[in-house]
Amino acid sequence: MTDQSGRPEGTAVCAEEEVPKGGRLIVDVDGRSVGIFSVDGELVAYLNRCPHRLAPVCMGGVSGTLEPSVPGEFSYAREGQVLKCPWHGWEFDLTTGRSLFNDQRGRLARCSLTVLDGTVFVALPGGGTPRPATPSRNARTAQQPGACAPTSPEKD
Amino acid sequence: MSVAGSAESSGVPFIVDCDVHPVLPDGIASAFPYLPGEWRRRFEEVSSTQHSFGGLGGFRHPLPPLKVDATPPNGGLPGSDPEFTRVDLLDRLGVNRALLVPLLNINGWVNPDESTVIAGAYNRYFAERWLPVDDRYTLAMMVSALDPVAAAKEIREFGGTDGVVGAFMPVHNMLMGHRSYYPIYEALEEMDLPIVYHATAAEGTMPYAPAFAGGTPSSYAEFFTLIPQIAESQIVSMVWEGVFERFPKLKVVFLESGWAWVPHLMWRMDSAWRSFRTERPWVRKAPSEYIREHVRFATQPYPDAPKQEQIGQIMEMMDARNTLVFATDYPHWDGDEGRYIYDKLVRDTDEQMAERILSSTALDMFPRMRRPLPAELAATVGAGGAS
Repeated sequence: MTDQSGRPEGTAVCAEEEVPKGGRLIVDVDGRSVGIFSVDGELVAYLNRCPHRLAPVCMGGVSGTLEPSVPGEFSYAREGQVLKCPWHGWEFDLTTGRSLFNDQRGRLARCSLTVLDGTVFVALPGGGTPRPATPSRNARTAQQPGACAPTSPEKD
Repeated sequence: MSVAGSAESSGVPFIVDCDVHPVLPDGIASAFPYLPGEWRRRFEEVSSTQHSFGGLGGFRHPLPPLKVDATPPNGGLPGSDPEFTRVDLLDRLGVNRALLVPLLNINGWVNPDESTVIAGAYNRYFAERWLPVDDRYTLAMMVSALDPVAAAKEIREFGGTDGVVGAFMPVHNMLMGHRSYYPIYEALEEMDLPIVYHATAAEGTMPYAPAFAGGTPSSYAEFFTLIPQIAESQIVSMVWEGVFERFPKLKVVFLESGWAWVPHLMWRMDSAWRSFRTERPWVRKAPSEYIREHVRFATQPYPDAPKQEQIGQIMEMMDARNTLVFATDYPHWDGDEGRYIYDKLVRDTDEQMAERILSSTALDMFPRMRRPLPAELAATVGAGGAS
């Protein structure tokens, strides 16, 4: 997306070639950690925060998954399209952000991503207004739990 | 044939050796290319995780069991660096006292001398490498219940070490009410140390470790789901055998064993007591009272309840103000770390109960955590706490 002047929405975060094909790059966008993934030749960006327990989900493994199958069979599919949270192993479809095979609320929060002249621009969800950073390993600061403002997981 | 020929030509008898062991250069991994279909990916993925619980015959953990995002800067295993853990857990979460519970599956080991000496070595490793790093670290010293006399001796000798606040006793396939554990309980009570219970993943796969009720499950998903079974059995046993009558100061905390099941256990035990009290007349009060007084449960893994209000209801039923203690399980895959759990705890309870769960109940149970560490602790070992 671009504004009226033709300048892409969001913040310039990296060069396009910095995201390895089929790999990822974790960047900082206005104080929020964001994962940029190269999926089937396209770049997508999500907040680095699992809707389940706010884990740095973008640090998880990217692979395929085992589709529901008949007992005793394994059917592997969607190679390179599935992100698995490094904590509880919740799986997300990188092409949509939706969680797989999961009856609980939750999808990844997608950021708008534009490539212009080889530069990647990312805008945070919700109009790009920076929100207070989640205390994460990306911002290692001593913090008393009691000092934290309440948060809730992303709404589906 | 040349073989037969060579035997004949050298004049020795024809020999058949019925037991020769060829070795795979990379162990089991050398056989992976020969696995059918998706089995290859499955075995390779599991083998690449940091460890397989219970060895090759045990439950293979389908996820990396240690959080990759907790990897120290030196590239070591998550949870292996006391300096990094201080920053990554204590500072980031604002933890003021952390109970270190080094896990080892000695409840599956068969040799009592080996399990006793390795437990002692673990204790000294953590006393030397971790406790001096930060006053907020405290240790659950490990003891082997396979030699209760040696364990009691170790508790008396090492249990007074600065920073030791409890004893992690990996439990064998003999319920915790059994009187062979009593030398250990006697020493713990004397030293003002509670029992720390935690599954080690030997459960269900090693003959000396606790078996699962009904049979042996075959997947990690089943193992994870059924861990509470074993904790329930221990509590029922300790109450009915009269452990808390014999050792009235003794307390036990069940870590990572779940707790949403506790109301059911209390009610059912109390029903049994009303009907069968005379079978064990030394059970002087309702079993749920013993639980409230002597047994604690760690919050992790915090349940994913379908409705927000259900957690608070369960907490009310189990008297969570006095029975629940906060725990993260850092750096394990299902650890409840981060602000999310803190905020949820506050929403699910009220401010006073959250305070009890986050600190007071644990400080009552681990009296030696109350003292500033390490200087004052050294002078007052075993002198009783504020509980």
